[in-house]
Amino acid sequence: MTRYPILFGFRDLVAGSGFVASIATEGRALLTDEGDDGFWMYGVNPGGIAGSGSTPVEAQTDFRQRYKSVLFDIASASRDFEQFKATVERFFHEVNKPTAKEWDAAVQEVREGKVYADWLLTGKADAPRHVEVVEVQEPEARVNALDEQPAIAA
Amino acid sequence: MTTSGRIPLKQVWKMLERCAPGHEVVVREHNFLVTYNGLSYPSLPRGEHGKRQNPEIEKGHIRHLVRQLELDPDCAKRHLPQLR
Repeated sequence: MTRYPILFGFRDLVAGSGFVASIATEGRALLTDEGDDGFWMYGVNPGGIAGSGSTPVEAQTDFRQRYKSVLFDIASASRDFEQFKATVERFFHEVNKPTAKEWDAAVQEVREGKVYADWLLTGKADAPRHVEVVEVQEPEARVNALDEQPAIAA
Repeated sequence: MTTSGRIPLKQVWKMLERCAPGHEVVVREHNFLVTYNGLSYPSLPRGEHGKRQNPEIEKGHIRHLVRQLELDPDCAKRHLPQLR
């Protein structure tokens, strides 16, 4: 089974009860080729999401969609921005420990040249991962942002 | 994606009863939120609209849930042989 350690950067604007929030995430995930079961992308942090597809791009797209659906669920369940922010931060920082070990091993395989992905950018495995949740007080075009291109960690 | 890679949700609930005693499930708009021992899995799919009585869940989600909640993998496989 081939596995790829992925770095991703998602940018979202989410509306909740009386607020609009900007969420910028720099996360980690493990993309795996599971043969007949297709490609899977498993979250490391945030650890509580997974996505699948018949190609790597489909798996990444499904993962992205599931991530966004969790943000929407959190927004629906939050009474105000402070609760939303705290819950999103907890969601992000809950690392999937077994998958994190696999991610580290996959980074080593990339560094040893056993795995490569010329369809991905390359990023630093030790680049800091974080989430930033900010309340948008005055909505204007400058708060819009595109996702970062996914990268393979090395 | 093959259908052999799917597990009926009712079997997942039975596995959780055995392998994660005291776990809690919250139904949210898009996903089930499953919590156990201070850990959470917020993205267990609810299934497609109109098929939510006992939807079949891709086993990759269940495999990841087992890891995220740090359940005993042998217990999970005993109750969900599809994970073997």
